This record gives sequence, structure tokens and C-alpha cells, in this order.
Amino acid sequence: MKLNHSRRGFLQVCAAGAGVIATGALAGPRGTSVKAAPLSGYKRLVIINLVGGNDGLNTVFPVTGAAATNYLSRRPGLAMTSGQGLSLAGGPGVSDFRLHPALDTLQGIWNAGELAIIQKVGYPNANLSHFVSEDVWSTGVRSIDLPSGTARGWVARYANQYAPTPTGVISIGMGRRLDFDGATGHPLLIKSVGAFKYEADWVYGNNHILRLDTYAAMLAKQPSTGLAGQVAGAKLAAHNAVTQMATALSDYNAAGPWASYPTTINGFTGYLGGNLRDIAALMYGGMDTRVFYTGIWGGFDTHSAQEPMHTNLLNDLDNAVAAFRADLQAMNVWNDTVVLVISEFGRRNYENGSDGTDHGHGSVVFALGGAVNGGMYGDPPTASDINAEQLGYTTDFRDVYRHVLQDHLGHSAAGVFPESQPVSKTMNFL
Amino acid sequence: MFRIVCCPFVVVCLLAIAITPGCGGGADGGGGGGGGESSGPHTDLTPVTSVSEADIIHFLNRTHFGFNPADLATVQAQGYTAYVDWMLSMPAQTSVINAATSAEISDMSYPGLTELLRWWVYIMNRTANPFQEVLAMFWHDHFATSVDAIDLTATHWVWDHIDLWRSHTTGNLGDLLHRMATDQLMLVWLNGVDSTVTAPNENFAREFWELFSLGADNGYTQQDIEQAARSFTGYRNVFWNDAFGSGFHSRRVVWENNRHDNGTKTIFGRTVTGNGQQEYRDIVDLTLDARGMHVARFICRKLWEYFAYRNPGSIVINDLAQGFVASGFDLKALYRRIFLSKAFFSAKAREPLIKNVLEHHVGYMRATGLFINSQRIDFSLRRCGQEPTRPPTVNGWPKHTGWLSSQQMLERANFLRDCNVYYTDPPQSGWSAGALLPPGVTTDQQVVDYLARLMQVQLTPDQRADAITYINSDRNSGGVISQPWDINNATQRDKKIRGLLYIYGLHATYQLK
Repeated sequence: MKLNHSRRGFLQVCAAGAGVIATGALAGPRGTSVKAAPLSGYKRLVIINLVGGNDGLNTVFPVTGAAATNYLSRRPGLAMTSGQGLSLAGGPGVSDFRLHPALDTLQGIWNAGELAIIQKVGYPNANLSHFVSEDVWSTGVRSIDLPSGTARGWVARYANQYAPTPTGVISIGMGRRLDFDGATGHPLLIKSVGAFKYEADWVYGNNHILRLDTYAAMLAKQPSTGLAGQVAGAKLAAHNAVTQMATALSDYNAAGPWASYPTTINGFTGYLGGNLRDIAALMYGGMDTRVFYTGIWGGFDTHSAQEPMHTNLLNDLDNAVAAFRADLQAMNVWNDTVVLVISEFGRRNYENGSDGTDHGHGSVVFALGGAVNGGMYGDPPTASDINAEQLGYTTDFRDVYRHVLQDHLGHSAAGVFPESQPVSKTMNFL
Repeated sequence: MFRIVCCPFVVVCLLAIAITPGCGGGADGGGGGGGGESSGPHTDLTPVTSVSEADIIHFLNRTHFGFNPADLATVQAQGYTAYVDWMLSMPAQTSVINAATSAEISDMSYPGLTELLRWWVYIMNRTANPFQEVLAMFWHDHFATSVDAIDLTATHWVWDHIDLWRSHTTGNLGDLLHRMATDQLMLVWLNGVDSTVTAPNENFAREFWELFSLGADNGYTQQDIEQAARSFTGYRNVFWNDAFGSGFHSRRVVWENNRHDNGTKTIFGRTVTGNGQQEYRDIVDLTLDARGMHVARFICRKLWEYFAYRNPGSIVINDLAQGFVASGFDLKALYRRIFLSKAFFSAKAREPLIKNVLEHHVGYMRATGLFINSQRIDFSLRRCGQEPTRPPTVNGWPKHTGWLSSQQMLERANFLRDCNVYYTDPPQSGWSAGALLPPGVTTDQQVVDYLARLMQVQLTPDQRADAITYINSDRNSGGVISQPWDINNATQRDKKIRGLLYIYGLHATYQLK
């Protein structure tokens, strides 16, 4: 079997001397079409992963009763006081917790009734290792063996069943995540839309185009078997997507003005804004994407000098989400989009001697979007929870994903999360 | 006293059954465990008696940033076993190192972090013993420390850090672990300098076992971590300003007895008495003593997966590990055993692996001579996501299919293009497309076939036909034109050979080793 490839020549798109080459290939093998308008009524999930273990207890912190007393005593240097932080009294109206002061946009979304705060989310048999925890979140499996031939990543299992094109599930700025491992449709795993291009050769410019055409022709003839076939599939998907991505971005840029995505906040270089801007552009470009996966990569592992790092990172999250929400509202897709903010674990309830916090377990997940019923979900940390080493979990993260898959994307999660769980809770924020 | 949560090695050890798929495994696309393994050529660690040219090419692909004719000729001239011994003796590469220092380092007292990166790649590109650099990268990936931990633009002790991986990884594993644990960059990277008697920091203690010596949840408990964190206390950062201005602050890591917890600890059920600065060494020794086979299996597995094949079963790993323990954790003897083994040349070990970025880049430059300039190489390595001295996390870089992202495919293409357009590096200016071809390689078919072998790409017959069509064509603004191959036309020759190297570099099989 040969790989499906449309043998088209390359178009040279030299935008303002930038020397960018875009391929003239058609859209992906399954015929996803590109048009400069978002798919209407198309349900999407956007995952923002705060990699490194976000300190959930400082993100949403108790301000009343023994929970607050214990929180303050366990974190004499790092705790937020009730005078700090942002009130949750608006919207669904919660008085015993407040939001980290950096999260003013999320407070606004809360007040609009579009933010669900899910407390004490985790997985069975806590493990304090980043890598084990990330593996659990990425595979959606804690202790069973998946049947042979089943994709390891949960996003991959979803994609193979419901979104098997290169654009069906997309990761931006996160490398090649295990979540996508085993996806047969060669999903696009990209650094950024702007960087997704072939650079031109200014010495032999015309011949360089012939080289790329020859490469593409040879790629189409690569047997699909074995590891070389797998490589060729990934290459072909990437090759075909170059034009598709560039078109989406230029259409988006031409259609502005859009929200401004901050790249620097108080001198801190933000990470998320560019990624969410790219996702907005791909949505605008009419991609058939069900799951966008992005995040803030690193920095949350705050073993020492947690502040102001944690504040900077949450500012990055908050400001990027502000622009993203404005864009999606302008495109009229905010109501079709659920954004989940996750992290592999929370942190220890007590601060360490380095003005930081060590690895913990249960933490907070945010769900936001026009279709979200705002409010507090899961179980809030109690005084005795906070006196333990770390927060436990009473909501399995897979129940959060399952809820979004089934009640938002409209797809059964049975094959995506096949493992039975010791703790199971029906979520209802959608 | 140790809990088994998810522990493939212990399962194998106790029950002598296959590893359970899905238990353990990294975030790198690896499958499950070893499967119902039986012995065979892929577990045979007895020495090879003879090697073919194809065997040597396999060896070069795995240990030398890939094949090139000069390295093949060297191995053939020396004989395989003699060559392996020479390679493992790590002969000094003085002239290359001096040339690299002269070319890339402006102030040897305060080498810039970027300069050090270029310095290292310069050596990789030109050394007579590429294995030394491949092995250094293996250990750098294993003990993944990043200069991002230090808020400096220049310091000499990152040089010491690189030297640790380049020059101290053929001795005793205990010595290596001890050097690593007390390396200044490591002490900053994993918060060793923040860990004190009043507030021990668990970060290094956890990774010391999880990532560096035992593997996740393999023979240690949270209590062990908390106790070892007390042993790993006592170092501290010192800063002072000097006359060099911003970015050139001196930063040193020093020992302070009163920051060290000199009390008694209990680790692995054994008592560890306070021993000051020597306690770092004591914990290393305790780990090797109390968990020797765990460590040996963990290290042997990692080496085997990198150099031979993925997901090895228990037979070959236990065999290697037992030898490693019996040798007193002699790394050189372990490498020698691996590279001389029949299993290393077995069909299973020849199943392809994906090249990491350095293997891809350095291999391409070594084979073609197209060394891109040093400013561009650090840009390219950053874009491709494997910048030495800057691993993304303490878990190191992606492995194997972990490199198969869409972005990666384009970034690798753009590196190949960089090799064609950034040729200001002095050795580059003498590059000649014609000189790449040996005498007798003159016709279109000969050139296409010779360069395919040089790059070790496997062309199907119709792909070969495409390559022949390519060098008999050109393209102008109006489109593709016929232009028969003419080896005597220097301009066309340069253009087409560069083009063919670029096309071959993009070939799916060029990603494999």
C-alpha cells in the first residue's frame, strides 16, 4: 500500500521576503477542507496543561473556618491571606474560597457563570513523581494493561475512534506528548503555526522547490510498512499541513482586529498567549479539530522561591485566556468550546524551607466555556485534608474528561477510558 | 520494607516471568515490556568472532552519529575488537579540542553558555572518536541537568559539567554517581543548594533514585526519600560580583558543615550515621550495596535500549546486570561486553530506531562535510529541541518515536537547508561538491547510488528513478526544465549534489539508525 498523497507542485509563497515556502498540497488525506470561517456548531475541547505540578492550594485557597486556619499555619510564608486574592462571591456565589490574585479574568468568567472549579482531582494510588503522574494523566490508565494494539495515549484513543485525521487532534507548543501516542492519523504536533514551514534556500531558490517536490514524490512512494512507513506517515501529514496552517493563520490575521495576546507580563515572558492565538487561528481556519492540547511548559515545579514565579505563571494563564475568550466570542464559537486547565498534581500542603512546595497530589481543575455551568464541583479541601501531607483526591480526572467527551463532544468515552475506577463521580458542569 | 507499586524489574527478578506490558515505560512511545521472552541470538552475550561490513555499519549507526566512509575504513583497518578497545580507551583528542576552543571560546575564564554548546558540537563534528561524544550525550540525557538552572550567561563550571560526561563515564558507576551528585550544576538544578538541616529539599533525593539509579518506585519508599534528603544537605550557593559586569557574576557552590544534617538516618532499613560531606558518597555506596542488582538492571536496560533494541527481556538484562555487579560496576567492561556481543548484532538489534537530533545533525555534517556555521547550529538545535546543556526536563530528551512530531519533521528539513546556505564556518568555505565523490563516480546513476550509500538511505526502485530524474533536471521561474547531469559543470554539480543530499536527508529512512 502506498501512502495517499496528492502529487502537486509546490507554490512559493514569499511573504514580504520572509522566504517561506508553503506546499501546494491539498488538505489531509481524509479531505478536510480549509475555509476561512470556523466550523459552526462544532464542539471542541481545549486542554491547557500547567506542566510541573501547579500549586492548586494557592490557586484556589480557603478563607474561612478551620480550613483557612490550617492553611495559614502550614504555609506561614506562602499562604494567601483572606485579604488577598479575588472573591468568588459573584456568579454562583462561594464565600469560603478565593482565587489567586493573578486570576482576575477567571474571576470575571466565574462571575459570568462560565467557570467550573473542580476541587481535589487526582487518580488512584498517588505517585509523587512528575513522570509517573504525567504518564497517568496522559494514558488515562493507572494500573491495567491495555489490550495489545490499543493506543497508549488517551487523546490517541479518542482520535482513532472519532477524529482520525491529522487535524482531528492537535498539540501546540508541547512537543510530542504521550497523550497522542498511538494515534494512527498522524495528528499534528507542532511548536507554533508561524514556525510550521519549510525555509527557503536563497542560493538555489528555484532548485530548492524542485528538491521539495522530489522529496514529496518519493515520500508518496514510501512503503507504509515498518518504522520507515510510520516516519513517512508523520512526514506526509506534516508536509500536507504546511499550506493549510499558513492559510489559516493568514486568513485569521487578515480578518482582525483580534484580541491582543500578551507575550510579556511584568517582565516575565509568557508562554501560553502565542499557543492560544494559534488555536484561535486554526479554529478560524475551519479546522475539524476536536481536541487542542497546549499548556505552559515548565515553571510550575516550584520547589524553591515559589513567588513571584507562581504569580507570573498564573498571570500568563489568565491574560492568555482573556484574549482567547474574546477571540472565540468574536468568532461565535465560545459556546462550542470547553477549556480544561489541568496539571499532573498539586503540591504539598506545607511549604518547604526553600520558600517553595514539594510534590503533592490532589489539585484543582478549571473548566470554562460558554456551555459550562459555573460553580464549585468535586469536594473542597477540608481542615483535616490540609493537615495531611498533601491533598487526596475524591474526583478521578478521567471523570472530568469523560464528562466533556460525552456531554460536550457527544462521543462515548467507554473505549477512551476503559479502566474501572475505585472512585467514580458523575460530573455535571456541562 | 519496600513497596512494589509498579516495578517491572522486581517482578522479573522474583517470579522469573515476563514483564507486564503497560507497567512502567517512559513517555516516549515505547510499548510494553519484554513479552514472553525466550533465549536466542538476541540474548547471546558471547563475543562475536567476526564482523561483516554491514555489521560495522550497524555499529557506526548506533555509536558514531552514523556511518561515514572514513570511520568504516578505520574500523576495518584496526579490526573490530581492537577498534572497540581503542574507542573505549578514550584517547585524548587534543588537537580537535584545541581547535574547538580557539574557534568558539572567547574568554576561557568565562566561557559563554552558548559558546560551550558550539564548542561541543565542533568536537562532535570533527573528533576521531565520535563514540566519546555519543556516550557523553547518553549520560547527559540520563543525568539531565540544564544550564537554565543558573541565572548566568557565562561560567567555567559548565565546562566542568560537560567534562564530567565526556571524560568520566568509562570508570566506576559509583564514582560517576558521586561526581554527578556533587556537581555544581546538579546541586543548583535539583535544589541541593537549597536543602538544609532545618529544611531538607526532596527534589534531588527523589530523582537520584527515580531517574538516575533505580527507576520509578523501584526499591525505595517515600520515607527513604525523606531520610536521604537529610543526607543530601550542606551545600550552598555563594555569589559575588566582580569586575566583568552584568552577567559575569561569579557563582560558586560551597560546603558548609552547619547546613548539613549530621544526625542518624534510616535508609533501606539500614542505619546511616552522620558523616558530613562524605555522606553523599555514603548514600551512593549504600544504594549500590543494598540495591545493587536494581541499579545494575536499570542502567543496563537503559544502555541496551539506546544502543541495541527496545524493550529487552529479562534474560539479556539479568545477564548483563550480573556481570556489571560482579565487575564492581565497571562501566567500560559493560560497554565492551555490549558492543562485542552477538546479541548486539542480532536481527532484533538491527530493527531500526529513530535518530535523535544530534545523531541526525552531526551525522549529516560528518558524512557530507557540510558544517553549518556555529551561530546557526545552536539555533537549529534549539528549534529541533535537543540543545546540549539544555535538556527539557530532568527526565532528559525524547527517545525513539518521541521525536516523530510534525514540527520535528519540518525542523529537520530546515536544518538540512541550513547546511546548504549557512557556510561561513571557515572549514566550510573549502567545501566542494565534487570532492565528495570518489574517483569513478561520475554518471547520474553512479552519483545517485553513491550518495544514497553515503547517507545510508534505502531507496525503492521508483524512488531511485525520482532521484535520477532530479539530477537530470533543474527548475527556473517558469517551472521544471530538463538539464542532463554534467559532472564537469561545477555550478550545476554543486547545486545538484547539495540538492540530492537535502532530498536524501529528508528521506524517511534517513531518520532511522
